[in-house]
Amino acid sequence: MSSQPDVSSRPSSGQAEVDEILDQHDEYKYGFVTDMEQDVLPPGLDESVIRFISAKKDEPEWLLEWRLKAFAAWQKMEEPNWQFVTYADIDYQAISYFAAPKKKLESIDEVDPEILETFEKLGIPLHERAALAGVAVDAVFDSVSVATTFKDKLHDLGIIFCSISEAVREHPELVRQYLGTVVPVTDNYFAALNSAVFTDGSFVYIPKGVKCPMELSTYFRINAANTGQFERTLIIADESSYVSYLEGCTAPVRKENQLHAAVVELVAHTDAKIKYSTVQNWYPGDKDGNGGIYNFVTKRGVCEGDRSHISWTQVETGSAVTWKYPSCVLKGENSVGEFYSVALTNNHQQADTGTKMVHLGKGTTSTIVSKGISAGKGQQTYRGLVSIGPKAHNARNHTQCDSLLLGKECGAHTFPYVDVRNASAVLEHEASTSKISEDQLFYAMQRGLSEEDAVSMIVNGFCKEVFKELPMEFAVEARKLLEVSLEGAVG
Amino acid sequence: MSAVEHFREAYQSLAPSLAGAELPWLKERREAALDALASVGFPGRRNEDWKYTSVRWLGSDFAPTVAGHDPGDSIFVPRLETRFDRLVFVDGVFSPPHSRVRAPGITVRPLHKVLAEVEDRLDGSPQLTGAFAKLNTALMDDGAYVEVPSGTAVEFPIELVFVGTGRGKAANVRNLIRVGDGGQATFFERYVGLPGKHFTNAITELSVGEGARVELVRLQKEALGAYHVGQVAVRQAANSVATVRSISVGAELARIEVRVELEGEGAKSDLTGLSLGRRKQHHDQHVAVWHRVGNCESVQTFKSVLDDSARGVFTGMIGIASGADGTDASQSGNNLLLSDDASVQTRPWLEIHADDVKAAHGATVGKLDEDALFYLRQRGLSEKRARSILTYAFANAVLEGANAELAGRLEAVIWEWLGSGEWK
Amino acid sequence: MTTPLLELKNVHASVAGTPILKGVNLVVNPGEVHAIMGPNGAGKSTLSKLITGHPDYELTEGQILYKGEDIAEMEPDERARAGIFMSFQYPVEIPGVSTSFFLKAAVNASRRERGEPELDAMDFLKVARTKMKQVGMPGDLLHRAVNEGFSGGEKKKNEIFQMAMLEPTLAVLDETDSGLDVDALRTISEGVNAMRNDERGMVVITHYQRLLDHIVPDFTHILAGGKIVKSGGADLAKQVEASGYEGLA
Repeated sequence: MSSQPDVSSRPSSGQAEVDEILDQHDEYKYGFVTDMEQDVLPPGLDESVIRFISAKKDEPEWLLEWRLKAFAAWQKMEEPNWQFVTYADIDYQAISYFAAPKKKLESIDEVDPEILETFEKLGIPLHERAALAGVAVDAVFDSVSVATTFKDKLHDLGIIFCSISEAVREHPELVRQYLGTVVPVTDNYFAALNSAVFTDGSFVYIPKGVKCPMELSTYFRINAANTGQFERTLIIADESSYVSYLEGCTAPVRKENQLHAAVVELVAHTDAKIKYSTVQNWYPGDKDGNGGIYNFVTKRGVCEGDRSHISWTQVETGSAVTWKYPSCVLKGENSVGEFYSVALTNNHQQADTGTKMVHLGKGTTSTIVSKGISAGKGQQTYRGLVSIGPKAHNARNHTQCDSLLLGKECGAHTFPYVDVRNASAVLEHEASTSKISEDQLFYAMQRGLSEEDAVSMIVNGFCKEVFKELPMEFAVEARKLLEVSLEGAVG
Repeated sequence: MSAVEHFREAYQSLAPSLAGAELPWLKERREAALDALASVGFPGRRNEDWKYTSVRWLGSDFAPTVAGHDPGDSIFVPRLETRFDRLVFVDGVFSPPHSRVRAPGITVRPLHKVLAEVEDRLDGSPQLTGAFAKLNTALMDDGAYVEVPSGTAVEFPIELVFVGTGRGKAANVRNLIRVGDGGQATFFERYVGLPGKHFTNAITELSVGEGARVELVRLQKEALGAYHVGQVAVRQAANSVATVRSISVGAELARIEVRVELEGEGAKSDLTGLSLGRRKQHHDQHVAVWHRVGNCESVQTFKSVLDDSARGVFTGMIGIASGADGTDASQSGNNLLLSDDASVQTRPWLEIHADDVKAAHGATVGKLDEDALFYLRQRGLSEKRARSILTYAFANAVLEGANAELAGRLEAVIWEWLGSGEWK
Repeated sequence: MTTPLLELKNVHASVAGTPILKGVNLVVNPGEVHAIMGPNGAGKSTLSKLITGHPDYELTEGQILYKGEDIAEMEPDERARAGIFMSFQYPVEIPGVSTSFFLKAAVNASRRERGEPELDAMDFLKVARTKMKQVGMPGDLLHRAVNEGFSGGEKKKNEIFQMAMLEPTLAVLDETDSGLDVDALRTISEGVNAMRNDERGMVVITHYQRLLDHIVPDFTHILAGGKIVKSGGADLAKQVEASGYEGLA
């Protein structure tokens, strides 16, 4: 080892102190439970549950058929086990597939004050503050969309931003045209489950030539116990349009694991651009690995038109187990796919995340930047596919995967897959693994920074390439989340 | 009949004549391996390790060979390299007329002669867990046994030649090589064959003692109809240096696995691989290094050049176990596509359970550099020649530092591939 | 009058659809050294790539004649073997190919074209050693991969060394002075000057006048906006040095 002072043995950061810091920050800030009357379906899943959900939401016959088809497919599928994570078996019959606030909501004013308060605690600018912040929010509480702000202003531009349930009622032709076209119902086990039982989510349609003037945002929260959250998001950007969409997630502290199996579908037409940002802070479980969310999500966008562009940015600090690969299918000529990710696993958290870039059209390009931070006993895996089809002439991909390890018991793994079937492709993949060096720490501390601040600063620097892709408010939140999730992880 | 059933039946009829049939422990081991094979089966596409390489060709066509199998009269006799000691096997069966051993102080013998003494060493490599390893244990009949005692340096490469006759045989070859502490040796393991169909299932178990230096050059240059599954399992003790160079040119389908376990501190492993594929060849290179202890170094340098509608697969794994601090590991996988119909699948993987390590990898897929091509042509070289030179330059990096006795021959293999479009 | 070595007639050229050269006329006779000067973006490099046949550069109008023959359809290597050499502004690194191997292959390709016997390794080395001395190139560079890890000066020396080995009829020196210190500049210039003779023509492309202190041209042309805007003798270069390109365009 180097002759530099051994930072970990300095009295200023003794074990007791580290424990204290750990305890102090171990509290999950969003771990409160909202006390309110809810309509909760008893646990269990069969056709009647699906019929119940569909009926409850007044769905047209075709959608019920679609759900039942998905359910039939799901029953024949096997839960995947190739991902680099381990978790207790999920009992799908012990989950409740529908939970909604009892009162039916007509407008934001009717939203239960208790829920509004919840969102305030979460720091979501729902009400008036939404207008000030220039963010239109669709909040999904457990399974049901409770309010969508800013609707009128968007309506003037022809933008549709509402819950998917409302979209099914008001714009059935659009939903029917696109639903399940990007992520087919049989795509994978959890997508099939979601298709069968999804209860709500957001719907966005940006008309031709419209640049959405504000960030659209959805905030998801799992509140009720023993419920799963199965939201479904569908975003369509018509020709030459632009939209930036933000998604945030939290859940209360509960001893049991909870399942979150969402599906997000994006469609970008010619010259359209969709920017999708996620800050995922589901409850990660306690420091001994009890409880926490299983976050098994299918996110995929298709660049349908020429020169279309889909950009995924994610900051994943929460969940006990994360398993997701926001992907781009690059069909249109010269279309562009991007994936920027920061994932952090601390304590017993596990994440197997990455992306798929499927190049089908000529001149398609993709960029992947993945930053994984692993601390405590966290296990972190980057898994990504770059595939170049036979007709994707002159496709380009650049992939950069960096891992930062904090501690002796964590793991950082990199499992990229590259599949090239066109000789004109140019691909580069780079990966590195590092830790915060004692030299770096000592240098920063010699200049007067505390160890925590020094670590936080270095980690932020490590993630900079990704943070700069986030909208401003989100970048600030992401940085804070990272700090909270990390503190005490060094020693 | 499934391949598993086919080989079980073959075992039942061959058991009395397989090498070491009189050894109870071996019989037990062979039958356990067969049972294990029956329970896991040959890998399908859902097996991550074999995701991109099908084994459907295996079927029930190939007849395992045992000593006494008559290779026929017109078999190919490789040119005898006078300075090299060597063992020659035809369809997996030792061929005394083609073999010679003169180097003093070392043991180089066909395995079937020494089976009684290798109970502890046979299958002594923890890497040998897959279906083809089980098949090999069940049906292996011969191979090379080499023992380089501690402190002994062997001057010239020891050549192990395996000839397939293309007559539908399955050769389950097992080589056991041990280089004692401080020993030095170079091995040239080569697989060649006559046109026709056969299946080689070869395993080399290489044990490298403390401070020993070993280079193993493995050349797969089977005829086009051949199917080749080769595994090299290396265990390295402290401060040893092992170089494994795998060059894969021939066969309809070839899968080469190089798996290294670094078990003693200060060991260094240098692994290179080159696959040259054309027509409809399928070449799968698989390399895995596990750093079980700290302060070891490993370098993986793998290349593939694919022409026509050849298909290349590369899977590289750097594994760093918990506590293996001070590891320095790197991996590069570069692929060159010379034709529109060629394709490549590459998986540069890292699995890291320790924090005080250096681990990096890089992978590229591309075509020849246009600027370099223009530069060469501006100097008067024809486009074809310029392409050959640049392709050669891409490929020959895997020969860097090769044993001087072998380097020229390996270079010639690359040039031959580039020049004629055929190998003879 | 003899046939010109190189003749550009109303040459228009574009790169990826963007027009760069817009009507260049130039005549280089055997034995003449022509300097082409011009500001950045004038099209100087395009000119050299066009003469040597780089596939990305398209002749859209006009003619390029070499020894009286239209070479527009000739491949880059055919032009090279016919005696056209370019010293690259940015010589390409070719890892894995030793300079000696590469150059021997190149020299023999040209010799075959001319019906001369190929050089064997011994003969090649003998000639190479002599020529390396002439251009001040360290002997060990011969055994290293082409340009790989060479310093800027070594790369340019390697270009001139290759020129000496290939003995072209027409040499195009593209920004040969860029990135050189004073000593390297002098050595390289000496190497070039040693190759001047009555048969050989040279086109020396440069941004700065300083190279032309060492390689004194017979003619100087100013290229700006894709055209030759002014031509003169060696003193035109000095004029540029004094007043810049602005005053000339």
